[in-house]
Amino acid sequence: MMRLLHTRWMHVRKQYKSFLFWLLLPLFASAVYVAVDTNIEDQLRIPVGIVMEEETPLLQELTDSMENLPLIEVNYISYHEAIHRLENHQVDSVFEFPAEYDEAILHNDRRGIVSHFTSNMSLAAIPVKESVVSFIQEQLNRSKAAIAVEDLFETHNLTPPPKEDVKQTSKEIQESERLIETTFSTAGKQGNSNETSAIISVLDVWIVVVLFSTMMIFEWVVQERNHPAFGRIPFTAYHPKQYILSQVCIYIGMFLVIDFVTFSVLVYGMDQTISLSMLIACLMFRITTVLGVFLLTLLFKQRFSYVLGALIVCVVLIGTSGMILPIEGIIRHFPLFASLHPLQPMMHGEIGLTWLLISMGLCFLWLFKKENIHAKRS
Amino acid sequence: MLNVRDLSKNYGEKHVLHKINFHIHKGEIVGLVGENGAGKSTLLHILATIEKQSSGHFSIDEEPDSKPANIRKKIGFVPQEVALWEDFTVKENMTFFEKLSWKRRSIDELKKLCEAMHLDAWNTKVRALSGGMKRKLNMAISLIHDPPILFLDEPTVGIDLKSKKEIADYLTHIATTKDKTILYISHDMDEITSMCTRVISIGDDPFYDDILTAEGMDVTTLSKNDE
Ligand SMILES: Nc1ncnc2c1ncn2[C@@H]1O[C@H](COP(=O)(O)OP(=O)(O)OP(=O)(O)O)[C@@H](O)[C@H]1O
Ligand SMILES: [Mg+2]
Repeated sequence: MMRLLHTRWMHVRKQYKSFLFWLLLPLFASAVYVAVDTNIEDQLRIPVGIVMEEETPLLQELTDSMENLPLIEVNYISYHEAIHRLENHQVDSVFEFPAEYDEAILHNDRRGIVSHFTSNMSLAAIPVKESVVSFIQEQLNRSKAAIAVEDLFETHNLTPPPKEDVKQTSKEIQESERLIETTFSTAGKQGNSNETSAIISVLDVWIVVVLFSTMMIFEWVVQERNHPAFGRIPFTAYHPKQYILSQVCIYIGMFLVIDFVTFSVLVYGMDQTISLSMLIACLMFRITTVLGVFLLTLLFKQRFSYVLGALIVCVVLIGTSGMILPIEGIIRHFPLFASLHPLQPMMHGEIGLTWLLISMGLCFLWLFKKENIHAKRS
Repeated sequence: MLNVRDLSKNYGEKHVLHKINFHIHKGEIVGLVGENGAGKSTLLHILATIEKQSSGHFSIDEEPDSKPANIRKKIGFVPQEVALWEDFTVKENMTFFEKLSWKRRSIDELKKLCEAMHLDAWNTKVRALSGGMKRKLNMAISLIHDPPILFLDEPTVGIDLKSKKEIADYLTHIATTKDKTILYISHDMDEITSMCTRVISIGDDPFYDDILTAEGMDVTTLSKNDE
């Protein structure tokens, strides 16, 4: 075993740069994807200017709600600054609240409680305004409820409970009855990206990069198997097929180690959640990919035609996987398609045994198929 | 040592070798001559178990029909083309095939093997070697497992006289001191007459036979049309 590792090391050492590049690409690609994905969410926040004459409790409550919206970035600025930024399109729109805001809300007076300024370049002014108005509406409803309760108690000559208590209770009821999250979306980007949908897309990135990088690394099979020096293997202690397969196993070992590192980085370094079954599915997927790519290399004698063939296979697999183009229609008509497509189970984080068994079977067939050891002839 | 009986080979309709018979003793250096396409390489490939004969038998060391893997263990096969890893140095090529070999050799032994053929470019990459050096390394690798019988397919093609002589001297040396048996394909009659103890000629053309008999060589002719 050490001898076979040594011969592999001798080959890999000669092209360690490209080898390391392709080996580590899945790790870097998925890490960068996660980082950029989080970053883009920050950058996509819509800058909104808030002008307040006075920071009153109800205004405070309102702006807190706005800050909690995933896609809004709240800037507290002066009136002049706000106009300036709006003209330079540094903020999307501006809300101005008068000092009498709390007063107006408490007396259920809707007039002049907010002014909204937009420019001709304001992209998200309307959805932002709707959100803000809905928050103001909630405050108005709460104070209306408080006034109504007060009136009720007064008509029955009872001491009313403090207004604050009524508002608090109404807030709690509102929270518990809230069925639809008040979020909005811009240009197709979903405002509320939850944990599961995020990890699935990292998984897609990982699948694509693993598929492609494995194909690139496995060019060695085409190169070495068809090299005149390979004709010497029959005159060593190893059968050529046995030799090649042992080298493939060494690669599988290296890949599994690197995949383990990749998932450790994603889980411990980047707060992604990957279950144990998902981890096993990924490792199985890697083995299936290596065996499949290996079988593909056996069909080619020339590097160029192999790379071309590998690219075509890659594009076809990804194109029909549903990652980019929707395939729900196909799956509805042919439910088998989902379980027969080599990438489908992995995309859903499931273990795809079908192709693992098929590729293992084909490798065994190849190993035991009798054929002449044909030395290259000039 | 090597015994060939009624060996035939055809590719489809084409008869390349037809019922040939010959015998080679231990320690002999036998030249194999014949025109282009006569079937010399084909014969060598069959004896080295790289290709299968259509009919007939051969045995090495009086062990008939043993497994190809066992036969190859006894054979040092030097291919007609240069079969080396170009990115590797001489040392790396030697260690690479030593790692896979049946026999363990120290780095020192490997280096001595190269030096015995006057190949002194231990740390040079194959790309940077001269044609003669490549040919020597091509031969040295085939000798790593110290096989008792050597098959060489035009090992000195395209190299200068000095290197040719060094290779011939080395082969004569191991045949006489280590009792190695050698079957040697060449188109170079000077090489054949100076090095070989005997010649086997295949093909219908008596051209080589006449030259070599005139030089006083012992020539065995294996004609395709011999029944
Ligand atoms: N795989 C093959 N399929 C069909 N014909 C083949 C095959 N290999 C060799 N031949 C034919 O067998 C004949 C003998 O070839 P071989 O290579 O043994 O000749 P040779 O004596 O070594 O010639 P040279 O001196 O040119 O090396 C040639 O006519 C060749 O075309
Ligand atoms: Mg030949």
